[in-house]
Amino acid sequence: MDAKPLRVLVIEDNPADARFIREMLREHKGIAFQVEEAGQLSSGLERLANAGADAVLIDLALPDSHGLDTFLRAQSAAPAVPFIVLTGLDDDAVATRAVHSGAQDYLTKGSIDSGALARSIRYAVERKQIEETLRQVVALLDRKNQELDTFTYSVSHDLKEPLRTLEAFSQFLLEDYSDRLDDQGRDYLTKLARASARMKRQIEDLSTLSRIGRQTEPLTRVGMSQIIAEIAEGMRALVEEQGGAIDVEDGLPDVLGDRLRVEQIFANLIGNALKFTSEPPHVQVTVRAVDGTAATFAIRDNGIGIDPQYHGRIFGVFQRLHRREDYDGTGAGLAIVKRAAEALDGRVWVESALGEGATFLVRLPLWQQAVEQPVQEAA
Amino acid sequence: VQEFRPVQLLVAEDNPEDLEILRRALARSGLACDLRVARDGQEAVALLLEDERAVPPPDLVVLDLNMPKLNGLEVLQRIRASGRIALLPVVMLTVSTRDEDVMESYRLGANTYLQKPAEFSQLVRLLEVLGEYWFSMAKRPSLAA
Repeated sequence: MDAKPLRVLVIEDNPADARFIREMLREHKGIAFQVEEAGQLSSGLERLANAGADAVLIDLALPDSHGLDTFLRAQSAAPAVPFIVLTGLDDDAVATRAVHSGAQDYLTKGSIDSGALARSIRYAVERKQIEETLRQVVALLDRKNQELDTFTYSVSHDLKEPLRTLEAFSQFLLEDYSDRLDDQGRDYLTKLARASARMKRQIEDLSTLSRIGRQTEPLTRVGMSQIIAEIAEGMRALVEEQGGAIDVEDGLPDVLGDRLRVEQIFANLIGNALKFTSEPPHVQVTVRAVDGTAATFAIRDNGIGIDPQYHGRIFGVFQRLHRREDYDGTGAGLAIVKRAAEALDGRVWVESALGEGATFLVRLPLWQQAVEQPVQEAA
Repeated sequence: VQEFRPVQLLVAEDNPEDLEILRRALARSGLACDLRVARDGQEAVALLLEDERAVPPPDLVVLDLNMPKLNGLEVLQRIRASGRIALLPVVMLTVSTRDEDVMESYRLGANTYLQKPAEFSQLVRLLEVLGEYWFSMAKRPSLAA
């Protein structure tokens, strides 16, 4: 340990308890502590704001604040400082909640000894430093990811411009000169037009993919039964044309998310379920499981199925398992689904074997009155 | 007679291919117009404001957003700040989908903001609609006078 004393702020209104802590820390042989004291939350926070501290010991029952709230207020005032909560003998429940909310430790007054106290403080400081580093790295990664998404978005946007020119002039060529071209010339032009149309779809998918990862919409209640009904209605012509059916379980639970992303997820999955089949498609949308905080939805089809060896790969961007002549598409759909689900704190996976249809599972947070957030903080 | 006069159209567009596409779409749309072209924002301002005496103002100005020297928003700003042509109908025609660009265009007084369609046929349709809009506006007593 370095020679610099650890600066500990004790926010404690009972002078006897405060003195006891101060003496124990002074007695400790291994680590030098410099102890400061405050008798109220307000004076403690003021001191913290002015001079900082390496660690704070905080009593939850203070003249100007009481219970868990004491800790929460202190922590939000100084989020980078490690807190150790001091409690009476019968306060275990509150103290545990404080630890859940970010306190490093809690100590029960009356059963503290010098060694345990010093160790608790030292570990709290170390842990907080690690947490802080981790938090910074996560924030950095998050920022880099956002930058990458923004970059992808603007690149895909810029790529559309020359593509539009390419498309327009191939069309003009076809319109004005096709009578002067032979079959092969016209065939080349058709191939050119088809390739640029495909590139356009890929670019559009890329820009959807980048947009879908940047969760900035407020999270609200999304009515699943309604959204699935709308998607099914939108695909009705396609389903009828193939002589198939989409069955939706009644009363699907509502989720916490945003409409656009939830729609992206289920429209893509149901669209795939209808597409990858050689017989009349039969798609079932059900809820497989509901636990305290999340629901798992299942989209089951009777299509060609997916070999388990490819289950990991299919969620990658522009990954295709079939020749374009067999099943058209850019191969970005499932990547979009995956990113949309992750942006909503959910996930998606598949159960399938070749020839046995596929079931895609989507787990999303359940909507609960208390959980609704006005705005998701953009990192 | 007035309402069958071709629309005097000024288009500010720096990309020659885009301009050619626009010319073709105009021809296809059947919108009767006399087209004048500015190849960047500065040229547009020169045509609109500096030659004010020599050349009568157009009926309608179509501005690209991203142009060298002066961009579309800056040209729009100068039109609105001018005396004689402050009320000229201005259409922004751009590839940008950014909310900021849309809002800034309206804030500076654009009459409408149109996103350049991806398909040529959509561009033709857009110009048809623009023509219909223009003629319906021109028939109003306040403008026809």
